Amino acid sequence: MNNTDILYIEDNEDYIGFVIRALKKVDCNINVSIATDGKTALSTVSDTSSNVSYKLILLDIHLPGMTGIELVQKMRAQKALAYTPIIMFSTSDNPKDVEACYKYGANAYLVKPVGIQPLVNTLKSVCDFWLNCNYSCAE
Amino acid sequence: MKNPVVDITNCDREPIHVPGQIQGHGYLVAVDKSNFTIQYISENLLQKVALGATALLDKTLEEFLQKSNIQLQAISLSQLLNYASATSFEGINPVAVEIDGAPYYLIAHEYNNYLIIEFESRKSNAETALQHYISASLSKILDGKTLRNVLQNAAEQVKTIIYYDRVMIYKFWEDGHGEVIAEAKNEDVEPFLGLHYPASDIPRQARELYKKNLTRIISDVNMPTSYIIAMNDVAAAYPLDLTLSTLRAVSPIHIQYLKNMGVTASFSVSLIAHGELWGLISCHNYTPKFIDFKAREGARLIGQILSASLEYRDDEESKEYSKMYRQSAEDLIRQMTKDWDVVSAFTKQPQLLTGITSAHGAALVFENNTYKTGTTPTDAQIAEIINWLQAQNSSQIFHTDSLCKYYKPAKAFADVASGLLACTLSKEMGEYILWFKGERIKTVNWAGNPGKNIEQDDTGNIIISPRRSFDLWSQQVENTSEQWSKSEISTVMKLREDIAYVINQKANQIRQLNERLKEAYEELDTFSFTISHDLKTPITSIKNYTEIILEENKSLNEDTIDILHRIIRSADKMHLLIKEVLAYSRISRKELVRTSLDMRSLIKEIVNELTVAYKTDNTNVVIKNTPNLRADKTMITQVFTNVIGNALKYSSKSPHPMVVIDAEMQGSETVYKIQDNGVGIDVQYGNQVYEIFKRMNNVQQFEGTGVGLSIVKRIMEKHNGKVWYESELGKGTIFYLSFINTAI
Repeated sequence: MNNTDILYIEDNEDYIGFVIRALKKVDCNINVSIATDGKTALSTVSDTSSNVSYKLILLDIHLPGMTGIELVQKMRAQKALAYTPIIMFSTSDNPKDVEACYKYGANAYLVKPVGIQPLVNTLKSVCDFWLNCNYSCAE
Repeated sequence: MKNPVVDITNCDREPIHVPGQIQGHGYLVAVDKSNFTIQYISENLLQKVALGATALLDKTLEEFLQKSNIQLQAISLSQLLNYASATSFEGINPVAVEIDGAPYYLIAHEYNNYLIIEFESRKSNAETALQHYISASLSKILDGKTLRNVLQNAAEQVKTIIYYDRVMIYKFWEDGHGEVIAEAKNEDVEPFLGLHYPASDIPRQARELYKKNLTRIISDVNMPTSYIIAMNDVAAAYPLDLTLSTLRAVSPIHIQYLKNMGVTASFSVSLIAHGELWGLISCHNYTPKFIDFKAREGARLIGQILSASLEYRDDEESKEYSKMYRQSAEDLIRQMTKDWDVVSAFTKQPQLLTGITSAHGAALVFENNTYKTGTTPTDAQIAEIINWLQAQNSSQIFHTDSLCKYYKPAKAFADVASGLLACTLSKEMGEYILWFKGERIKTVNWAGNPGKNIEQDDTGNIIISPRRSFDLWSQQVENTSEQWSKSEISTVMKLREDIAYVINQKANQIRQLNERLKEAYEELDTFSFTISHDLKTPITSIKNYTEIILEENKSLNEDTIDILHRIIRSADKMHLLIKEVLAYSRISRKELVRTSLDMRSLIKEIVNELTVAYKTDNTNVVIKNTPNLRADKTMITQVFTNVIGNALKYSSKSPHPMVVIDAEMQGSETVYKIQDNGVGIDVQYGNQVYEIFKRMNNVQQFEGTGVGLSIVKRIMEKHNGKVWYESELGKGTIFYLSFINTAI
């Protein structure tokens, strides 16, 4: 089975752990790459030496240095990422942030759920919709 | 019967400077200044020199003198007059001459392009003694310690120079009436000291004349006057102006006045202070009495020196007071600038305000409060005075020594406030400082009833006649205080400027404070937004890790599992709190966007969501009228979610829970009404229910953060709406939300 590559850009270690754990529950064939700031994320996606192509990008807003909003703008400007689903994933539900993200090309804006199960549910919905992947992983 | 109009100022219009006559004790000739041709000559001079007027047509002064029996010593008159024209007439006056061998003085002056030459008799004997007299007199006069002493000395010294029966110092008060304030007299005449004379006794144009010509003598009221003959048509058309003449015939009204008083000879010297006629040295004799030019000049000199000393002494006495006033004003302003507060300066040292004047009491009416010190009218009376002042078209400073003359109701409190000095701080705001002087009942002794110099003739016409009665006439002057002095008024004017500065400064400070408050408020808002946000992340971690522990460790005992669940519940509660605080702080940051709201569907949606969240399926929710609103959708959703949520929540434990949502139009407002039959609110808490984190004692068993109603209140305020409630413990609560109707 082909693995599905997802890029998650997040600086909070706790949350990185939660998301990896939750995604494993959603689909064990998903590979999660992590970038902890915008600069790293950009160099990861534009690294031609690797033949990894991300099927989905999960993106936090409050990042060190470049913000998630700036980042989504820059990513959308890249040809390779023009059709890649970019999902904003933030604790903030500030309407201004939401508006900005959609304006700059995010596909969805999700507020991070509290609790593991809600997180799993949310990420499952995301994957169902954006990746259409197989649920081969046995419970 | 006619209805005559009385004009007491009739005398004021008599042209007394061009009487066309001179007094009979001297002679006058007036010549053209450029060529010395005779223009006017007094009838008695023609008689004296035994010439007819026609003989003098187009003749010069020299030609006239040659024909006459007037002898000048040594020098020619025209030389003398040319010299005087170039320098001053004071330098040549008087010129000793002889007419028919009798000693005379020639006195010349220039006026309106005429040289006016007057002759009057000279007393050869007293001449040398006079100089000595005057210098001795002056030192005696100026010895006086007080102004009254100085004036008394002056009266006595003038009497020793001119030997009149009575010498009075007569002072003009501000209203024009006069009072005898010093007197030297023969024993056998009754005293006039302390008597008041009405202003009409010395009419206005006489007072003007007295400022220009400092002395005047009427040596005998019974002596016939002599006409002035004009020598040509031009002269005839313009009667000779005798403003500076020494022989000017006085008004027949004045002669009659003196006769009525029993006076035969009168002499007066003007006293002038600060350029104004301060008073007169007024001298009366009961038999004819001529004083020659040099003696009159002596009296004039005394008058001038007295005038100078008057200015100085007057100043010195008022200076003492104005220094005191100024000191008080400065202290008051210093106090004000210390804490930039008008009121506290006054309340800390109220005596300073009264000390600014000689008032008996003062009041500061400022920012809708009245602060009083000393003897003042009541607050209500002060408020009435302010109302009246506001309606007046008066200047910044208003003052009177008899308020009820302007404002009738003041009679009721004339004892404390006959005198009012009002300083306007702000007419619009009704802010004033008032000073009050109490009534001083004075007895004024008039020399005759001042109202009685108006008579009717046989046909009922009004005639102004000089007074006949000089009998003592006492008048009680009521509703009048001491006058406000110039220094009191000027100190108050200065104070007004200073207070305006303080008020201005204070307004600036308040504006700055407002700015800072606004900044601080915004900062706090940002702070609460940021911190709430940052708190969310660790709370999520706590909850998630707890769940992971629970999930991955199947061997945990019951107690540990219970504790971990408690951690999760606490994290949930904290998360909710943070969310609500965020929502609350966001209201002020958010701009109001009004749109038309379909309230029926909005409310239904809210009710559905809440029913699921609170599991209140058993509650009977009745939705009646739901008029649409024009408001901010997000905010209104928050409002109704909170209020309906409360109704559902707090009635959920009632036997038959019921929530009714209804609305009605009340005038220009739409009032929504959300009623429940829940636990109710103790109404003694009043508006505390809207305070953030405030939860009532009887709702501890319900989940909640204490933020909901704060959000409701804030949003309603932002919509210019209102929120209130009615409640009864154990029976239920009705919340009302009223919105001002706007065009939908």
